[in-house]
Formats: sequence, C-alpha cells, structure tokens
Amino acid sequence: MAQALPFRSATCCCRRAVKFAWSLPAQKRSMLSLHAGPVERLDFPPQLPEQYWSQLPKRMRPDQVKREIKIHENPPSEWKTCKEPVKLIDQQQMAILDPTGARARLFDPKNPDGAKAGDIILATFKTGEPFSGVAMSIKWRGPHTSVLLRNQLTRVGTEMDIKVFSPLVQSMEVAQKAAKRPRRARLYFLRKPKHDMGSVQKIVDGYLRQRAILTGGSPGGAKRQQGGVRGGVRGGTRRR
Amino acid sequence: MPPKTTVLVAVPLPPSFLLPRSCLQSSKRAVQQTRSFGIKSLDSPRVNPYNNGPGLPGLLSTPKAAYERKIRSDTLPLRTGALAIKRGMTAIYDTESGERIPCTVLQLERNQVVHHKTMKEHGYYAVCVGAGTKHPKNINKPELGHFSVQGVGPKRYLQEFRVRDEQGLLAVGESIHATWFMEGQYVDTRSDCKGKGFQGVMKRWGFGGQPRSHGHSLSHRSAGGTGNGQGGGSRVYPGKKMAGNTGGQRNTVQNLKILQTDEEKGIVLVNGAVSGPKGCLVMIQDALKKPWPNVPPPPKPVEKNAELREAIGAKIGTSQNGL
Repeated sequence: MAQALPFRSATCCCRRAVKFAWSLPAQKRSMLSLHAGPVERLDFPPQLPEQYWSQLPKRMRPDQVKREIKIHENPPSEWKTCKEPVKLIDQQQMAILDPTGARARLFDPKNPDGAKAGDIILATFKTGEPFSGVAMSIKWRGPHTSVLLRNQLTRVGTEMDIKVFSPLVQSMEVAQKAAKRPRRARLYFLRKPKHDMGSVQKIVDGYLRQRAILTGGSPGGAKRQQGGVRGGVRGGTRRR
Repeated sequence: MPPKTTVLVAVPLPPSFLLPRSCLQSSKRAVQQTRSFGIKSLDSPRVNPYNNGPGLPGLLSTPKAAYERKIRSDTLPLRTGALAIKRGMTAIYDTESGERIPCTVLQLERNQVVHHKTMKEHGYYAVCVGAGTKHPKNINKPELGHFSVQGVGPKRYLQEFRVRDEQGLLAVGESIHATWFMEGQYVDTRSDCKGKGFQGVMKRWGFGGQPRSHGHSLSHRSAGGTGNGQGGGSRVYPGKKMAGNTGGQRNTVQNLKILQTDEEKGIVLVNGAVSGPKGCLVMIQDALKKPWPNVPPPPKPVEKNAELREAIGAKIGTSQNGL
C-alpha cells in the first residue's frame, strides 16, 4: 500500500492536468485565432536604429517630414511669342523671294490692275525660255501662288502651271488684259475646241514690240518661243 | 481523528506534448511583448533553376542581355528629344536650286526635363520631358507632388525619351529649346495619326474590292472570302484583315531633315510630312538610322541641380524623392 502511493499521486497529477485542459473553453484550445477585440497598437521603439528604417514604409520613417506642395513657375511660352508659325514662315519666304513686293502686287486679288483669269501672261525663266498663255486659273496661296497658262505651240495645246514666286521665274508680265471680265474663276472650258483661243503668240509679240518702243530697247527681251518648253518650273508641266 | 496529512511527492512533468498549451505559454506570457523586425523565411534556399553560373555563358533571355544587345546595335539615342505641337504644313524654296521643299511647322512649348529613369531604379535610362502648362487644380495631388519635388511647374504633356546611358540624362529642370536640334540634322517624329473611324477593307487594308458590274450586286467594296472551307479548318484565322477602326494610332516617321529652327519662337521646320492633325503632340528625337548629330555638350547637371536645390530647398536627385 505504501509502495503504490507515489504511482497513484503521479497518475493523479497527470489526470488532473488532462482534466484541466479539457475543462478550458473551446476557443482557447482552437488552432484558429478568433476575433478577440481590437488589436492593441504598439508604438515604435523610441530609438530605432537606422539599419531598420528600410523595412518601414517611407511615410513612417523617422526622417520623413511632410513636405508641402509647391507650385513652380513654368518657363515662358514660345507660343505666345508666335501664335501663327506657319504664317510667319510664309512671310519670311515672301520677303526672300519677292523683296520688292512687285510680283505680290501683280498677283494681289484686290488689285484691279493685277493679273486675273483670262489675261494673257508672259513668264520668263532664269533658264531664258519664256512661256506665255492665257491664265486659266490663278490659285492664291501666298508664296505658293500659282498660275495655269494655256497656249498652242506648233498647234498643240500646251499648259503650264507656274509657281509665281519660284526663284526660277525671272519675270511675270500681263501682255493683255481680258476684254471682258470672265464670270468664272477657273476657265477650264478653254480646253474645249469651241472656246479654245489658239496660239497667243501674235498678241505677245505685239506687246513686246510696244514695250520696246516705250522703253527704247530691242523687242528681244523675251525670245520668241520655239517649240515646246523644256526644263521649266518644278510644280508641273502639263501638255496637251 | 486527526486530519490526514497529504504527502507531496515531486514528480517530473510529462513530456511537453501532453501538457496543455496554457501551461506551455505561461512562461512566455510573463515577458513583455516587443516589436521585432526582420523576416526570416521558413523555406530552405531555392535551387537555381537556370543554367547559369560562373564559367557558363550568360543567359540570352534576360533584361540585362536584351540591354546589351540594344547597346551593341547602337539603336538608343545619345540625348533626349523634345515635345512639339504640329502647327501645319507649308513649303520653302531653295533659292540656289529653285527647289520647292514641302515642310511641316512644329512648335516647341515650354519643354522642361521633369524626371529621369535610371538603370538602377527602373531598368533603363530615359528622360521624362514635360511640355505645355496646366492649371494646378486640374492635376491630381500625387502628380502635383511629383512636379513640386522635381522643381518644375505643372505640365500638360509628359513623355519619356530613352537614352543610351546616364551621359544622356539632361538635368532635371533644364529647358529644351528649338536650337536643341541642329539645322541639317535628321530626326524621327512620333505622333498619333489622324483617326478615320470605322472603315471598310478597301480603305483600311487596300483590298481591291469586287467589280462594279458583271453580275455583282450589293457587294462592290466588301472583303470577299475570309478563308478556306473544310481543308482549312472551316474557320477564320486570327489576324484576318477585316473592316474596323482605322487610324488614330502612334506612327513614327523616320529620317526627316531639320530645315530651320527658331529658339525664341520655338519653331522647328522639318522636311516632309508628320503624322497627325494640326495641334497634335509630336515627339522629336535624333534619327536612329543616321549618324548621331555632332552637337555641343549640354550644360553640366551639377551646377543646375545646385541652383535648383537652392531655389526650392528640397532634395533633388536623391533616391527618396518618389511620388
């Protein structure tokens, strides 16, 4: 009996422990962490070594101070110095190509004495080959103004679209004004045989003779046209 | 009868797995909880699954290898580009040859370097250029903070220009003017071309359409067949050209010559056409397929940064100036 006592007390202790464990509420034994009220917020240690700063979000780092947003000035605007750059480039081009402004005046749509559709125009080029014809259409586009001239060379209808302000054009003269103001801006009907004016060479020759008398020079200012025009202006030659 | 005296015998505790958790944790609970830092993985270090290591040739499908290929092919510009607005087209005459040169007028507008992308932080080198201006109330706060920290005003447009190395990183806050481009040099322009809306296959892909007559009715501009029958799987293959939304996407025009520049007015005159309507944003950068232009070196970034630091009293160029 005396020998069994230590064994009994040991089993008793173990049983008591097991009994205690079972008597605990279920939530305490569970492996799941159930919601147990608000989590207590812990403060940072007062002096956190700098080596740990990188583990913190940037906004929580001790060296982060709230920076106020400052609106800086933008550099001055280029657009305000030049609101229409395309126009400016065109003006610069005009100043280079037509410094006197004489040709711009000739091809000014507001000028009553200027060139109009239906006029007979004589153009001379730097290469020395003149071309004359009836102006079928004038496209007013600033430095890109062009005129479409139609003539007959060796009985073949010939048209040439000339950029008026091209550096290859030496001069543009109106040999004869239209007798009547045409009621159309584009006289494409002149291509029809019924309306075709034919060669305007005689009219141009008469103009050149008259000009020579007035200026006292020789009428060979513009050479008489021989056959077709070669070279010409970039911008297109069209022949018919 | 005298009370029984219980005899207490010291008994060793059973092994820990038999003990309740409350007994086990009692000792730990006594210690005050402190916040600990650092995460240690429970997993063992992973074995390198790639066939690389010392003595082996480098891997080809890595960002590093891709960058090296890019450097070797010399397709990254040495310096940044600029942002411009397309103002329209015109032509100028070459007074010597009489040639008429069609050109596009581009205008730079308040170009400034806003940010850098670096190899260390972002994996590549690029200069973030801002253009135009915007009212601060129309910008969200993170972006406004970004401009504030970089020391530049709020910008309407922001674009990146990749550069080869850090030599090409123009200092933050530096203005880019039209004279950044030399007359006679070649550039590439990138812009969004004009949107055409929903278009048929003839306009979108240049299909021929069907004849006007010879028995064709109601299908003169349609696509026709879209694939073969049973032999081809009885289905339409992915990528089949069909009608759909056309235009409006980014287009690059390469090798355009710079004809004129005007620093004060911000005008850059470029030979030929640039994609997009008037008023669209155009990115101009040195041409990839021509020799790099011989340009004077840009101002030293150190001086500029020192000025800026004084001006705004904030940290510039440090790694902590994120959004």
